[in-house]
Amino acid sequence: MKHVRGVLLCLLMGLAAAGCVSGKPHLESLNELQSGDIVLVGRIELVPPLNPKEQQLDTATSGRFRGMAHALVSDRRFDLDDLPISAGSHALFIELGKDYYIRQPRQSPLYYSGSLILLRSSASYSGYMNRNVTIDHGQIKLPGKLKYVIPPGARAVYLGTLRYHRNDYNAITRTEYIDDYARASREFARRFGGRVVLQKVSPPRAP
Amino acid sequence: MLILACYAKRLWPALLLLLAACATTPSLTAPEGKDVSLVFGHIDMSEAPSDLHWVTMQRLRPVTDTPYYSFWVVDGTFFRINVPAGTYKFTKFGGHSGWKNTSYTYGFPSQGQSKLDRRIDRPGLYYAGSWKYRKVKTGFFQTGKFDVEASGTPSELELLQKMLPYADHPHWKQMIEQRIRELKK
Repeated sequence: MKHVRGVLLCLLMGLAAAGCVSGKPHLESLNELQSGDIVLVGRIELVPPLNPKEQQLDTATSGRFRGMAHALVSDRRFDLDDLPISAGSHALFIELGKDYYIRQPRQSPLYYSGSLILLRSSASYSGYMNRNVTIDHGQIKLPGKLKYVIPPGARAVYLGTLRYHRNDYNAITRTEYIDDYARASREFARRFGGRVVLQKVSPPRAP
Repeated sequence: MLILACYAKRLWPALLLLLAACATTPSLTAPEGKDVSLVFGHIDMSEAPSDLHWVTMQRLRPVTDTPYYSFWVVDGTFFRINVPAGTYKFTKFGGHSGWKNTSYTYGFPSQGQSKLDRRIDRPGLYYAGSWKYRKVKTGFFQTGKFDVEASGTPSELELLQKMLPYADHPHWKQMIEQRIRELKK
């Protein structure tokens, strides 16, 4: 259990550790792809879905995390309970329940270490002239520990849908891998044209 | 200096009155609705860097616009009335260290059910347990950590007896007295 003291520096570090840092954004056009890049396609679902009222996002820019998750997909493996500050640069910033299309340097294998959803981000002030700022945050951690082998020559790869079931206390009770390649492939072609074919990768394995 | 001391002596009673006015005395007043409960428990803070001043609980289900519930705290015993049915999670508690002039906030993990968390199905008394704050050793540059261990003391009976004088409304008084009778059998 964490014991949080009202020291701004610690809490900013905590926020960074919580994954509340910028993540790789959505791909808008295939023209953004550089040689050596691939497109990651997939989806992360939470069951039951997140009610907007469940996220108490009161600090300055935290509103953009509503309904979003940071998914750690990288050539490195991370421990969700002990994230370095640099983890943010390995995170995909994705909307829950919707397909994601993220540009990523080609690496194989790719490790999915899990995802973080910001549940609470609020600031309180105390002391003389409100000098002490305490930022309180809470998150849901979605377990990962999966490994994807990327086929050589692939430009766009389908990673599947990861469906997380949770209980009332936001504990993850079950995780499903769902192969929805046919639909995702059609949607990919509709969105980006037929210039790049979405390739299916083998179902993920534990690293 | 002498003049200042005289002024201080004259101001002392006024200061005490002011302090007394600032403090809130718990009062178990009329229930707001039929299906509300009283939630109570105790945290022994003798190993903590501060005392216990406040406790917050969040209603997780059903989801609501105003999910946070605060408690009265008397010597480590926390309690509150008018808690509707639902799934609840204790989120934070805190206190102040006078000699360090520092306020402390202790946060429970935001995911998963902690030892204190209860589901309230029917109106009644809900005992969240008696716990002892334990410091968990961490590295020098690491964030401090804590755990709460079941202590069993004070007992549920002792806590009920402690709350009874604050039961200003017969609804809560009868409920507490009935439970005391059950526990004494």
